[in-house]
Amino acid sequence: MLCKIFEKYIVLSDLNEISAAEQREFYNHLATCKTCREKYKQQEDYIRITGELREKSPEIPNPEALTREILSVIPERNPKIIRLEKRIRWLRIAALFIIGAFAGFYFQQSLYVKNQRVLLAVKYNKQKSVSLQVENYSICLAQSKIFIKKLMVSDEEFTQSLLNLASDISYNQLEEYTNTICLQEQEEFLSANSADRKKLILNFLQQSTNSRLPSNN
Amino acid sequence: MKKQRMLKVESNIKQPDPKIIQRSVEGDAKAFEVIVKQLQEYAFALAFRILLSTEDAQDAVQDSFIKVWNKLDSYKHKHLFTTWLYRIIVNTCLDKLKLNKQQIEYGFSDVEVSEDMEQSLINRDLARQIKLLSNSLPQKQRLAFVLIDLQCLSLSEAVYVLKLTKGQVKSNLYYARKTIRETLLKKEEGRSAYVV
Repeated sequence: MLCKIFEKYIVLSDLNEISAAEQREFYNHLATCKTCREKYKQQEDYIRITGELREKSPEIPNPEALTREILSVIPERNPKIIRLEKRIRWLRIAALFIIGAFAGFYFQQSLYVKNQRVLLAVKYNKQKSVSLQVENYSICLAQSKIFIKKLMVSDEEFTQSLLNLASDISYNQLEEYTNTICLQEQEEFLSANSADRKKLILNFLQQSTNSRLPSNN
Repeated sequence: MKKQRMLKVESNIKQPDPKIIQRSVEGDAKAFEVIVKQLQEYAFALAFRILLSTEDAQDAVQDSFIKVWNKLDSYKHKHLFTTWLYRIIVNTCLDKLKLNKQQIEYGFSDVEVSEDMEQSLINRDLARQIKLLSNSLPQKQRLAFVLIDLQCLSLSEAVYVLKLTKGQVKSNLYYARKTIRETLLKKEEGRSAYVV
């Protein structure tokens, strides 16, 4: 087992990635293991041979000619052109940055437009629903959802949009009102502003509550 | 038992003067000539040890220096200039090996031609020795062996040149050394059997 562990150390000993304690353990093992000693010796032979090979540097037949040849084929570089190239590179980076900024701005804008569209869609469908019966109202809500999904808006955003619009009047009140009012009242309701709508609903609720209460007489 | 001799020799390649590099970046061919003269010997040694041919190595050195000249402004000073140069040379040599392999397949292999017979003999002998040791190695193992054991690159330099991880370089070097050691052992056994 130890032999297998130390084999890697023998082969890669020059990379110096073994702790002092491991090194001590290794030399203790080497003193007792013949196989590892042989491998260690082989490694020393390897070091000697590759060392000799390293000493023998290959020679360039004609170094001056090689230098001349290299320099004769390198294209001329005008410092002015290099400076110009640098400027062009910087301009490219700047252009990329500007394009990126524009893209970001456009993306933000498109998100804003989408949100506005959602709000309009909800408002439109809600108004429509007021003039219809309760079941139609739910259909309209479903239609809103589909429309909103087409605009890739999350349900949370949709719910939030509804909540914003319905902060004044609760849906139950709205449903009860739309269930009862006649066509003329519906038209009146639709043409009214939000404050008047609220008043209309509250009046209606007041009246319906009174009619339900037992008479004092 | 005496401690094993350190295999790695500190790289003694003198780096080109940063001012000379800067002047070369600005297009000064004279400054670039200084760099070429200073490093062409090391560049040739590496290319030769990979390609095992004087002519191919000279071509690779020439191509590599042209690439260096064209890419000088992209040199980031994050690594030594010689390490950057080595990476370009290794890539050029690998391209050349691919091309040679294709030429051999199509039967257009070039015959080595040399002007100086004596120098060519030295190089041929060296090429034969390297080939004998590393012929059976896969390409990555052979490159790890050449860079670390013959060109004395550090592990981190080899990692950058070969575009491998530290573990991959170590693993390739381990198997390369093991195979070469076994080759040497077989050679030794064959010789002793012949003597007997």
